[in-house]
Amino acid sequence: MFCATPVAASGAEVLKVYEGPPLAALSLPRLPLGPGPTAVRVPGEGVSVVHFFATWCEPCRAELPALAAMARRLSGQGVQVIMVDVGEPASRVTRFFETAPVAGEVGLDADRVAARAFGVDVLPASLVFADGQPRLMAVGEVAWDHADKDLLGLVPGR
Amino acid sequence: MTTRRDFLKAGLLAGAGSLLPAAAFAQAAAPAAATTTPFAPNVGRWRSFQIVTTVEILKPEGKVQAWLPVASFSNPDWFKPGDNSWTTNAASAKLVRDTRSGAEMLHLVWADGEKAPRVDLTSKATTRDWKVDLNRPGMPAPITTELRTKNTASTTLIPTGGIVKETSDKIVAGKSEELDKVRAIFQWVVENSYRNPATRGCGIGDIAAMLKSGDLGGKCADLNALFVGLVRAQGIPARDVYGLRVMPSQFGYKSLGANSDIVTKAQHCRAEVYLSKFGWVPMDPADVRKVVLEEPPGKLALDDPKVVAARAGLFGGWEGNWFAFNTAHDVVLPGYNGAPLGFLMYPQAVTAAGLLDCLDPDGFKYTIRSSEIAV
Repeated sequence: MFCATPVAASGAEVLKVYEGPPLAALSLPRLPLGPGPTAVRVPGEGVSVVHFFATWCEPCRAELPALAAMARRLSGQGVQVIMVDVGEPASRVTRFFETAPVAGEVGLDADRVAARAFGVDVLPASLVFADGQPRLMAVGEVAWDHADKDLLGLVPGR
Repeated sequence: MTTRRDFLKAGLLAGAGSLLPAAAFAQAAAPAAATTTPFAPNVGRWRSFQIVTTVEILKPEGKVQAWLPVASFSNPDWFKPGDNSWTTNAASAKLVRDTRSGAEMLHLVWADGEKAPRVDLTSKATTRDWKVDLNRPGMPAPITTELRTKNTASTTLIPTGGIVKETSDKIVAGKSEELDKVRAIFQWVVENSYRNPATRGCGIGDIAAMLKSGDLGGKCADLNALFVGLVRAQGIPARDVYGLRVMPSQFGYKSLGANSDIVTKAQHCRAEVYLSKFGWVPMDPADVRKVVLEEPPGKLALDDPKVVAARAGLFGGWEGNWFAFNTAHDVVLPGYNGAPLGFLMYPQAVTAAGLLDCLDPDGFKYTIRSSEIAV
């Protein structure tokens, strides 16, 4: 559907309505950047932005600051970001986040099982879930500075 | 067996090999400084090389293991693997083979608490410049059914269906001869891909992703994997050969050789295609794109004479300045229950903290030195 080669950062994408098949939740090893459990549930509870990336992916790196800023902005409003690194060892990802901004918990998809299960074959890719159901998606770099309305619109009671 | 602090000396110690002077690099590279002769490899004389890979685990935690690729590839036309020998303080060290992928490696396991795990692996091989005259079809030994199946198969990162097959079919449309199809794919890769200097290591080689994204940038493990996948999609056997540049190019192309005896970051994969009238034929479209990007003054046009020569020379030939490891995909590291590797071209190690970053030789840490030897 939608691996591990980046979409060229020719322009920011917008979140679109997800029209694919149902996606079952799964659990990934958590990158221990701080204290916490050993696993990350994907998707998370409430509204969660599941963001697939890799350290070598240039558009992914370009997108991270805006993604992290969005995560900080909306963290108290029912929206969380879960990052999923595709196909890399934990040591490489840990080193990457010594300088790169972290937008949320980081799950490790070393064997690409999660990417395959979620139909992700181009990086970066993002899926937005609400109550466990996929609702929005984007392939490529998203204009996260302008996504608040779409994301908050999925939060119950808003 | 060895004690924890003892250095184990094992393996098949080679016969009387002697190092040529380090000046071999300077001598071989000398023509580069003066002139660049047109790239036109031919069948050359056999030369022997050794590479010495030194791995140190700087932060050993828990059980420490390492896997170092050794030459498990051979082609009597141009590459003959030699002996491997090693010294280490590991509790065990043995040559192992991942039976499914065929990759061979030195597997080391250190005792818990070993404070300075280290291994020095010396691997030898004999190789030569090789060229197949594609104007003179012959009667090569037929490929076995097993080899044909293996070298036309999909791998995790090189699928042969879907967008790969669709793309391949478009490229070869109207062509019926396998040589014409392969030539068309080679030229298509040269004309539509690019070498991305920002790509870490040699790339990932996820070719369906490359095609879907429309971004055909990367390095050898990307571009030659793309070539191999597109050829395999036509049912024509093709294989990536993962290895290491060990000597300068005799044609003065700095981009196509090792320019120092330290080759820690000189990994390179090539490709071979089996053509029924020619046998295994060397091909390296990724190196054509490397010439385009890197040969002075840089970012050369496709009609630059250096590129034209490399484009012609690397379709059916290459220099024997390179050490082949294997043609393996989806490599399982024996004794490790993590994800299989797309390919095995770099030393690997795992500690209680997980798999170490093979693309971070300083943190890992490993160094590789090469030299030509007389035997």
